[in-house]
Amino acid sequence: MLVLEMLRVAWTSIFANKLRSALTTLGVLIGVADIIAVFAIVQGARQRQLEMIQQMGANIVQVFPGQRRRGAVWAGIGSVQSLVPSDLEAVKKNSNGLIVDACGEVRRTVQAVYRGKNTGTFVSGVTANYPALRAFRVERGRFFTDKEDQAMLRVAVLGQTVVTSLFGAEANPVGKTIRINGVPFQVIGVLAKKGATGWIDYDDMIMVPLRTAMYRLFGTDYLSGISVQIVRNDLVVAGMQEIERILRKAHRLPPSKENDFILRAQAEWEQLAEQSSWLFTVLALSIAGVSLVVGGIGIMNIMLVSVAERTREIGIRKAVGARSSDIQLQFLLEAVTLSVFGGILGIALGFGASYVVGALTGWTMLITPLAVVVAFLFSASVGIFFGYYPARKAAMLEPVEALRYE
Amino acid sequence: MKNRAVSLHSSSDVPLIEAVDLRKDYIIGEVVIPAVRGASLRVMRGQFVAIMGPSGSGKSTFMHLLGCLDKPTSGTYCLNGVEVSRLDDDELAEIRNRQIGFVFQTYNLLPRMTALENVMLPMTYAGVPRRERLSRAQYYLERVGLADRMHHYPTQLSGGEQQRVAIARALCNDPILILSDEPTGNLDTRTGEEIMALFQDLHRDGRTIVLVTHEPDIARHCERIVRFRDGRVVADQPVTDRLDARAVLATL
Repeated sequence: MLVLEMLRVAWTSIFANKLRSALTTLGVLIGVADIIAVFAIVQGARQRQLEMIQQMGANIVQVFPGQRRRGAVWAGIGSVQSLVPSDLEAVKKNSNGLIVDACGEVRRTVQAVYRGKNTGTFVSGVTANYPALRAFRVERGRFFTDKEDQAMLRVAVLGQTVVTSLFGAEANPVGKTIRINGVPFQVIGVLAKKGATGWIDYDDMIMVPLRTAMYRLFGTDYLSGISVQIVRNDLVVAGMQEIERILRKAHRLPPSKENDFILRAQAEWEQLAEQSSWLFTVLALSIAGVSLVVGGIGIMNIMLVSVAERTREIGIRKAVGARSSDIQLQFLLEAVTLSVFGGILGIALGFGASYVVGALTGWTMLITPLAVVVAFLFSASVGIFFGYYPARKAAMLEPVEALRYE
Repeated sequence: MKNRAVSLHSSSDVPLIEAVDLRKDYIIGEVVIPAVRGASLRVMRGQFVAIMGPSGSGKSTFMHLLGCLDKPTSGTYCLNGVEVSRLDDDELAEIRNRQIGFVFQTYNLLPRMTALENVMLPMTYAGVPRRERLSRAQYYLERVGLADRMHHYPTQLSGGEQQRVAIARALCNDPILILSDEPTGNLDTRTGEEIMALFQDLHRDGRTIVLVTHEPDIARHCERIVRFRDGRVVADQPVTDRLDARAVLATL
């Protein structure tokens, strides 16, 4: 009951100095809004990424060309060209029943042109079984066949972003001819929308037959990657060992040499996604933390002013029977009320900012209850932490001294 | 209210105030300034005592010691048989809250609260339920003649009215002792007389009152005058020519 009375006093005092209180809460407000918005971006991106990875299927293992190593220095994935179409065939053949299917891919950035409209995008040269393995769906027209791949026909299936850039939204490009790096291709299909994860736009790509891409477009004998489908989720590890054995044999690697390729299962992608979102969260939280500390110092400053201004009030309260702990609690409640007030406004602003950012960028924004709870607790603890010293100062005043204060 | 019943039950020959050789030194830098230098005072229940003395005589500091607003450097002070000079800060706060009602020269009302809320304040710290706080505050404001001013803020009240609010606040926890430091110091003669009439009413109801004043005419409203000089009690006499505030008011 006394606490309610104190809260009422806190409100009265905060409202008696509206502008001052508003300015004081600004720091906390911005910090909290930052927490909410960044959590929304990172959580949204993570969610999309995990969805994409999960769509790919838990039983898909990806193979990339290995890294070249000079001494102790790794030159990065893809720095070596080690995967060739015969590797793909070898994996498909020597399966021991563990491997269901495998598809190859070669991926480059290109310029695509249609009647003077021009866009920079990706071409993925893939085998005909790629959509089935990697969960891509054709929305309009059709995907190319193995025969078309063997014949190296110039046919293309477009992602939605490419359709929009070259033909305009909602246009039907099937049957039209586009030029990719100057080479004419007939559009035979359009992929269903996959969406963006925040950083990667999965609709900004063109798919053409693998052999067409390798020999007619890029002039290369090497693959960018192979996707392998393992028979069951719980056999992925065994499947990976099998792929490793097949590829080491195909590449004629003696036991003394390391793999010249890299294997990745979905679980590892998920881990990577978690790690990157965690990294961004920590980064954003440290920015928000700075803002909250600055806000907290603002609150401490104003509370010290408030204690000085109200020295006489403190004296009167003590004279009529307030204990030091009553005074301390009162001023602490006032500081917490200020910071929580800032926190609530900050949560509202964070929601607003997330909505606007989401609408402007098309990113998925995900506001989790956890983010709201964390933001709220953060702001409350800022009030407690930075309000403690001023409240202590108020509580320690001697009644006679405080009453004499003019 | 239960402690009150117990304290009232204690035999009436125990003095309400028994201060023996109280000293209070203020230390400013390295200089020790003795404000009260061994003052003793005994006040029985129901007495109405004026403390007089020139400024700097230590009478206000002595009053603060009696009111448990300050702790003596040495000496003992028993209030209603309890030695309060040994109590800690929280226990002193409780004594100020429940046993003592203090009325100041400058009223000391909280400016952001109405008269009613100011009177309710000590009861809030005493943990009185809101409904009872409200009814008691209304009762005492009516008793001091402010029934129609309850929802006014201190700035909307005259000095005399503010002092009445302060008296109502001092009474609301039904204290065993009322202390007042120059209650009429900021008031004109007529208003001062009205306040003294209120104190005399309280005294007639059996309350024990100690007030500090430097005005002889105010002191003559009491039963007994204790004179201070240089931090000591130098005289302690009954009032022979007592003034009745209502009679004085009639002549004004």
